[in-house]
Amino acid sequence: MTVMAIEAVDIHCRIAGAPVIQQASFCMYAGRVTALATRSSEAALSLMSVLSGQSQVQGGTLRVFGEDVTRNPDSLRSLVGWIPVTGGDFSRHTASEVLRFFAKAQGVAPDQVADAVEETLVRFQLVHVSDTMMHKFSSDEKVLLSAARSMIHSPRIVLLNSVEAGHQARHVLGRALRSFAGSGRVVVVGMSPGQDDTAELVDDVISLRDGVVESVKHAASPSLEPVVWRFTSADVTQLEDFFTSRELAFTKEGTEISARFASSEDARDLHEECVKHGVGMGYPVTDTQEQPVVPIAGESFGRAS
Amino acid sequence: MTTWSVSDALSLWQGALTVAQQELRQRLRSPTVTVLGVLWLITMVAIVVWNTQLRAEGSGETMLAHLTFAAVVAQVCVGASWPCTSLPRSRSANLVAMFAATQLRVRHIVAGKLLAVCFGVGALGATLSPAMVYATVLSGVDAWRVVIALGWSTFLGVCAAGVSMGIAASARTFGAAVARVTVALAVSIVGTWWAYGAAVPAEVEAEVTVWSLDPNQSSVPPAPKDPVTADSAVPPECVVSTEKILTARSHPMWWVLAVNPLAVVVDAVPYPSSDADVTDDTERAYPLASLKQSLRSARVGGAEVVDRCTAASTVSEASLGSERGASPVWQQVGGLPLWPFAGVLWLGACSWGVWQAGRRLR
Repeated sequence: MTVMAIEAVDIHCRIAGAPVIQQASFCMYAGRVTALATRSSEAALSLMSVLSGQSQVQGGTLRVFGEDVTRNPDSLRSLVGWIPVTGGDFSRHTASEVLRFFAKAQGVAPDQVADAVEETLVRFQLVHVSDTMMHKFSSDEKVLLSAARSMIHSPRIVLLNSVEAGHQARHVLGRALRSFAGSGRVVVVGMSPGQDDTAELVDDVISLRDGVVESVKHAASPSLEPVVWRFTSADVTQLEDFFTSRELAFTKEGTEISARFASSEDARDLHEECVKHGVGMGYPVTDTQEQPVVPIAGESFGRAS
Repeated sequence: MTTWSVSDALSLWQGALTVAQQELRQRLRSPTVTVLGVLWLITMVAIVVWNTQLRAEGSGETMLAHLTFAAVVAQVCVGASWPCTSLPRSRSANLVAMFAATQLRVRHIVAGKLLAVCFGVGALGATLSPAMVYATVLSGVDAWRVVIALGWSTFLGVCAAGVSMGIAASARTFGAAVARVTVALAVSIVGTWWAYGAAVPAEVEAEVTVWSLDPNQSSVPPAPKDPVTADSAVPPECVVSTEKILTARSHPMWWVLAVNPLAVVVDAVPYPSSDADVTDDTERAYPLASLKQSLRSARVGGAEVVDRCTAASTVSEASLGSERGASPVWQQVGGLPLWPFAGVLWLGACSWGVWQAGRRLR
């Protein structure tokens, strides 16, 4: 059973006179990573602007955690973590200072700010640049910091414009997003056409075209379901370090390893590890397919089997 | 994953402080500030060296005057240029978008930026301290007069920032904001002197009341109606008459000077008001005293009462029966300070700027 966090029914929104969302209906679920696939980043930004409470819909109904926020978008602000621009006027700030600023700006209790900063630095693997000024960051570090500052206050809904980044950064980001979603939060990321890397990180994909919802795809298996890998070699002991270092729970039985993967990035890394140790090719069991969502009662939705 | 306790709304002080810290970090660490800081240091050293090495007498007084002027110009210019970089519409979009995604609101942004300017302008004044202390010790001028001058200078710097916020937030681009603020600064610091000089007719012939020493000594003037001179101690030598003389008529334009920060600071610093004429002692009390007297005289314009008794060297203070400051002319001059009007004017302009910035950022 998956809890529906955001429900939009026939919403439409105009920004500067132009219709950006037209009669769109969709649902987003707590505990899942949802991608907003749009042809232009403008449409995704507009929808995120609505979901963050910065823009108001002109029609339809928008419910967040069961509360109708159509006419009261301000109430969303404390629930949402979204920083719409990646850079900002922080080039002369260190990573710690940026996070401290956003922790304070998001209203984190003063006595918890330091802990929140420390935890976020660790989660996004930014400890090594905690005292480095932002203008010296690599583009990947900027992407990570940008995501980190959106999540510093542990919001119930996280919106990210994009997760375009290098391999390592995307891996870190994927783990963080999965970890967020795993704790019952909603994670929404923007995805432009052909961004296959992003598709690997997400559970659901809502595609919009000309402001209209074109399709909704849901991953077949819940994110943290165990994924079984089969190896051609019986000697898989060399892979134990891999799972331990990533804090992945796993069971080993013969040539099978069953583990809960935080993201498909882990799968890719595991494959590389296999090649490195000569263990042989593994076969992950995962797929994505379209699946209708069936409401059961009230705010809770079940998934058709 | 830890869930932090988050408040729904930030207090004005909390939000403003957060924004001010961010603003100051970003500004003070930029290379531009380092360059400007070095230039400022060179200017201060140049003032001190020039006054101590090249001028033998009165070096402390003139050094103090130069430092005061440098402080006023620097603080007003820094205050005015501060908001230009982030508030024009082309640049504020990101700022507002970013802050709007947090608990910060426009009031926090505006108050925070103003708070940052207060700190920046104040710090600029503080960098003058060593030179100011040195000049104060050298000149023997009361320290509190210097503190008042710096206080006014800082106040005007912050007000300039407020006005500039309104101007910058109304401008579309950074270039437009800089151009407008530069024009405003030029008008304020240079243009006002020019406007005052150009708009005021140099001299007009007017009928004035003249108090002068009686050349005949025997003709005692009738008891004057002026309460100051009405008591029995009025010296019999001083007589009143009416004369047509050439006199300046500047008072209709006096308010222009209130726009000039240099004039305001000079006028605001008190010095012994009993000195109708600025003497060496008065100059020692505050080196800008003569300029202050000129300003106030200019505001009064051609006096309708001219006191020639006071100026006469033959008349002692005892024979006048009162201090020199009690003379009708000086009472009029000394009693019309520029600074209260200027203070209200600058504060009003600052309020307009802050309100305008808040409106534009919304």
